[in-house]
Amino acid sequence: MATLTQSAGKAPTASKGPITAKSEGQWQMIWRRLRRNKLAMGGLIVLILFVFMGVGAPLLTRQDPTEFNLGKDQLPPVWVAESPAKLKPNPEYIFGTDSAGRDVFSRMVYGARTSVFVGLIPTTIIMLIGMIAGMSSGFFGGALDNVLMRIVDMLEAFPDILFYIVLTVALRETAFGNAANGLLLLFFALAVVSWGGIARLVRGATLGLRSREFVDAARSMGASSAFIIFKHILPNALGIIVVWAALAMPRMIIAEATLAYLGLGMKPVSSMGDSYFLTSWGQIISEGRSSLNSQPWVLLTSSLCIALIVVAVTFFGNGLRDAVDPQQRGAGK
Amino acid sequence: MIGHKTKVLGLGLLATSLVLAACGTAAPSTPVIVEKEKIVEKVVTSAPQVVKETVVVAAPTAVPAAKAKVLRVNLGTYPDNLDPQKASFVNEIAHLKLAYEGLTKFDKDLQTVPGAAEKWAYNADGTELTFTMRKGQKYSDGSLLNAKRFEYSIIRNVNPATGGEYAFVTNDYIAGANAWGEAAAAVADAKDDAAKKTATEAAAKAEATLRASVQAQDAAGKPCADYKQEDCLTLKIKLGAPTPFFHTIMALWVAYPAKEENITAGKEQWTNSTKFQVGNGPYTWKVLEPQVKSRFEANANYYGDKAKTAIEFAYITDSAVSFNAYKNNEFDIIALAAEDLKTVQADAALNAQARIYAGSCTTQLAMNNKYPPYDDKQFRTAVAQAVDRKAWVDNILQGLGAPTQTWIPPGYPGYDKAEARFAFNVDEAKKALAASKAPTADKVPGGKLKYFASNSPRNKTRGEFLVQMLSKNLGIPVEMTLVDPTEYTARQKKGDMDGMFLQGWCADFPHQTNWLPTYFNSKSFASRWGYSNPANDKLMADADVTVDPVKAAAMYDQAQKTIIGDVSSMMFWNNVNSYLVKPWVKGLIQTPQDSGFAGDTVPTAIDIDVAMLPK
Amino acid sequence: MTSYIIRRLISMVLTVFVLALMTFLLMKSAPGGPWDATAADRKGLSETQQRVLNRQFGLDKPEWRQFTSYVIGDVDSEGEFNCGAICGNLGPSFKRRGQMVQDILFAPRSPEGDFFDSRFSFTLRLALAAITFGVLLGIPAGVISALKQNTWIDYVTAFITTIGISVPGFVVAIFLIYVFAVSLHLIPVVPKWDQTASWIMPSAVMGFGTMASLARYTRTQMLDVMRQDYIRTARAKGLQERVVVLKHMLRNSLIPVVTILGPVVAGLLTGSFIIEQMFSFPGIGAEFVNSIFNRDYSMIMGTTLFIGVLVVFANFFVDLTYGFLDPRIRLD
Repeated sequence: MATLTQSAGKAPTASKGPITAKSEGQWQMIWRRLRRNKLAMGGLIVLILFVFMGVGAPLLTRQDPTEFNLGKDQLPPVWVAESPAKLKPNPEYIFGTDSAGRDVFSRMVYGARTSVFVGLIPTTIIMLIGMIAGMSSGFFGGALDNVLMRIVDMLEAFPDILFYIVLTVALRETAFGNAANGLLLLFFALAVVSWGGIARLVRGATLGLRSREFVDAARSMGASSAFIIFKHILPNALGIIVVWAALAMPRMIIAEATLAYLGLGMKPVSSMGDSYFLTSWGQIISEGRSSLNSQPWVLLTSSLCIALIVVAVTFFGNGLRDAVDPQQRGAGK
Repeated sequence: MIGHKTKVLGLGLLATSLVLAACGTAAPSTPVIVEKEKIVEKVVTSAPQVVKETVVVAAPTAVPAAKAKVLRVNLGTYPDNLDPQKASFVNEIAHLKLAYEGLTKFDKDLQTVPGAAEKWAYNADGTELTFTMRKGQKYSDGSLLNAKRFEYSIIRNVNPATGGEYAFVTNDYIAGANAWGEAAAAVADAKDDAAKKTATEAAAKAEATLRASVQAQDAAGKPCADYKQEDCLTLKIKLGAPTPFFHTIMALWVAYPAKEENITAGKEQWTNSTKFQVGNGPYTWKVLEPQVKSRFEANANYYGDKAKTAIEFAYITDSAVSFNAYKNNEFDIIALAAEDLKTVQADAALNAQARIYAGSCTTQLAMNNKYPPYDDKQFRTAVAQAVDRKAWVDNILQGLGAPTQTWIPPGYPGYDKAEARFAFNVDEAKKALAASKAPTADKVPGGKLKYFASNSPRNKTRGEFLVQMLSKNLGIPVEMTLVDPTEYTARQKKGDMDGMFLQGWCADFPHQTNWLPTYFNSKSFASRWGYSNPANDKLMADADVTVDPVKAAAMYDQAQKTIIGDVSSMMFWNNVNSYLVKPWVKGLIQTPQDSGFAGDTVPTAIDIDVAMLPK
Repeated sequence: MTSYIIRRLISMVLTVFVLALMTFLLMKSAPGGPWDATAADRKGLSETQQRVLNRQFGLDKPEWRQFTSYVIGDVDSEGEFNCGAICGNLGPSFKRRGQMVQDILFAPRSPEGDFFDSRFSFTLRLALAAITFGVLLGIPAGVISALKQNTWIDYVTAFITTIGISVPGFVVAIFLIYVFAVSLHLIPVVPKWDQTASWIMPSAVMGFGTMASLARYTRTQMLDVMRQDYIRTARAKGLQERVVVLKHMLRNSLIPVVTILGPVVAGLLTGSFIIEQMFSFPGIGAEFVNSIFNRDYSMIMGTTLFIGVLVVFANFFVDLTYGFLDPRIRLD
């Protein structure tokens, strides 16, 4: 699918009033609205499930996801009577095994880790960079604003997947590229290009907010700029930031899967103790493609998982956006 | 509600765009008519261009079973470089082998037989090779093929400006070839104009020397005038040192006679056009659609056995898709991917169509002779007898391999079938171990043996299997060390891995020299694990310059036996070629040198039984 | 307006320059060079050959000079000026030695072919088919779900479009290939690009994402417009519902939709990589993916540059169009 360089739909506007004693109430309102959106709640639950799956992987799996079980390759999952290669399932490997004899179920479960973290970590980094850049830009204006926005313009013009590819290809064999099995490079690549969108949004919100009375009031009381930013601007802009993050997560997950499919993602891990992240769904897809005829369930389950988590997070993100700014939806619920 | 008109317009647009998209592709239509000719072909043998217009089947519908004979092959990746003097990969060579032919070629036993040249002769000491071309040979477009064509293509391969990866195969032997390369590099390195001037002059001289080494001559011994000269049938090649196997090298694609005027006319794109890829091989290159398909048809101007079928290549890289297309009868030959092996074996019909046969590579388990206890021959013998090759092939390679105890693979000249001195035998291994310097772990430096592998999940599993087997059978603990891939190559070249590791080699051309001295000379690859046998080096060097092929073969044989006997490493397994071939493909001759598809060393032997084709 | 255009042009040139610089630096920092053998046991090019080739391809020049000669051009050993990337010369491919990157991308694949025979035209046609697919299905879907808001039609469309936007293209492609070509044998597995049948699946896969985004965006815009006063006015005036929808709602909704065409086109061009490779489609994307596998740096760089320029121009053009269409928008 076309991964848009901007999120579909308008950016939510900041809430109408200053955050004071009503701040708890506002978030409760958002939560209430969110709760009523069944799709969004469904998405949230699925996401939480995946997080548990990823974190609790050692508890959920009995087999070693990196071990090549000789002679037991391409076994079908237990609900299939016989695979195209006329092999019978083995109850020890409930989802069957791949071409190298590795247990598919434990690989799927451990793969959730990478997808979830790839969703979270770069998004968080981008959020931080974008927030700081956007708020400084909007608040201080002037030359800083100019320079930052020009940089953002340039970054936004880059087709991001292209940049990920170029960056990964170039640095893959270096020491940097080998750190954390290639995940450090991956996170770096994802973060470096994508902070522009959130920066721009935050800047817009900051611009709107800084001319408000409460800012003047705070300043007249002698508050420093940093204090104003963090105490007043940030809470108001938080709504946008959170929504943006929720909508950016799927993009990150897809980018990782795409890179893994091209062979540019994580490096393969030889044994369990080598790394926290043993494999990723994108990697499983890329490995499973050639065994489509003999063991299609590897490909199908991994594709399904990616689709599920991405759809779930998207529903949640949409719901969050609608909850934060109900005007968005037109005749809001 | 949405304008009905808009909908219709829209659908129309969609349909139009799809059709336009398809239409825009200029589909080179293959005249079906030409296929019909094949059926009558056997009657009309050497008369070229006769049957082209005659369509015997006047009413095609009357003879429904007269299907065209086309061998449809999925080649996989589309090649990068279809220039004979720049090609280096299997897929590239697969195309060139059909459209062109060298001075010599290989038969089904990989012996070098006459190709475009009907005979050749070395001078007394093997430093000059003279080819005599067949008279009246033609390219597929009917133009003359004389010795000057080969002079051009050989010099083009040597020319440093061409930059082909297989330039070494001619340059290491032809007199003045490497000197020209050096001189050209000196020009490239020249920093200022004065240095450049001297370097350029030197390079010009070097080029002239090389040109004198490769000369097309007429019957009187005078240099040929041009490509049109009919009596230009002699090609003299001066070799830097006695090279009695150079005629084998002239069968390789590096000397394929691409036409100079085509290369000039087509410029950079000449390789992508059938207008310019005009060759002298058994096939005419009729269609070349990069990344989509190629089609070769029998070359009516070819002097030898006419091809019985047309050949079509497709370039589906996805092996799963390729397999499905095969099952769907859209291909006749495809490469069998390891992932699909079990599925094929489970199906009786498919299993019968699987062709798995020895390939062109051998892998050995090297033991670094420089480090104890590997410096002790008895110890090495013990190791060599402690590995169950068959178990490895069955479990690790899933049957896609063949155990071997000798170096040169089966099917290649010099293959030693009888070699069996280091068969798997745990008792013998234990005996040898007891007689060695390190019969128990405490006598081994560090208390354990080391096995090195490049870090990847696959290598790790293989290593674990091997390490376990050795530990058990030797009674000495063996430990695996996974090395980062880039570091591994560097360490391999340095030769400082103090233990065992896998090393492999694949044939460049079917001759013992490519297997023995190239690899096992003390100064070449053998230095990586510290093997050195100067006497054997001399034997191999002598074999290299022995003009009498029978004598040379005997010398190589002895050298190989010595190498195995020295057991500096354990010969482990040969790779296999694995293909699926439809049952209606007949006459296919398998050789280990097959590269593009099964039987492509002698493609003209392939036939299709039209009666068996699905309706 | 003119000042806006000029400013944007300058900004675009700067962006492209930075893109070129970054790609160049990255490619140069990748370990290994263009002449390295791709497999460990291959001989590769000899050291002498490499020296000659380095001189031939200008790789012996200092890095900064290589960059400027790549982008602008340089004077070669004969004293002639060879123009660089700004003239469309994207340099020689390192793997397909003898061919220039721009020829691989734009020239007909064989000397006899015409424009339709080039890889670029294939990608272009695929993008067009995808956009048509997307527009024809997406916009009506968006309009309908807006008009029938909160009914089951709306929910189903929302569900499908979310899937369409979120699920990566190659995942959808995998499923489609499996279902249609492998299981059902509806479409020939081996593609024949002169037949429409082979174009359906790649176009559908690529168009699906476009359709989803367009549907989503159109719906949002329609909902926005629907609440506007002038719609109520039009209804109060007694205009037919059909006229109201077509003349007022649709036109005003579609204007902003144009703005996302920029990213959509960008997404199509970049998203086509994997899809092209999966379907063995002879376009730029497949070529790009292969050059990644091959580490053909000049090819990677040239393609990145080209697509980057295309995306930048697409966005610029869209912004310009937006400005023209909606006078309320002030471009500054």
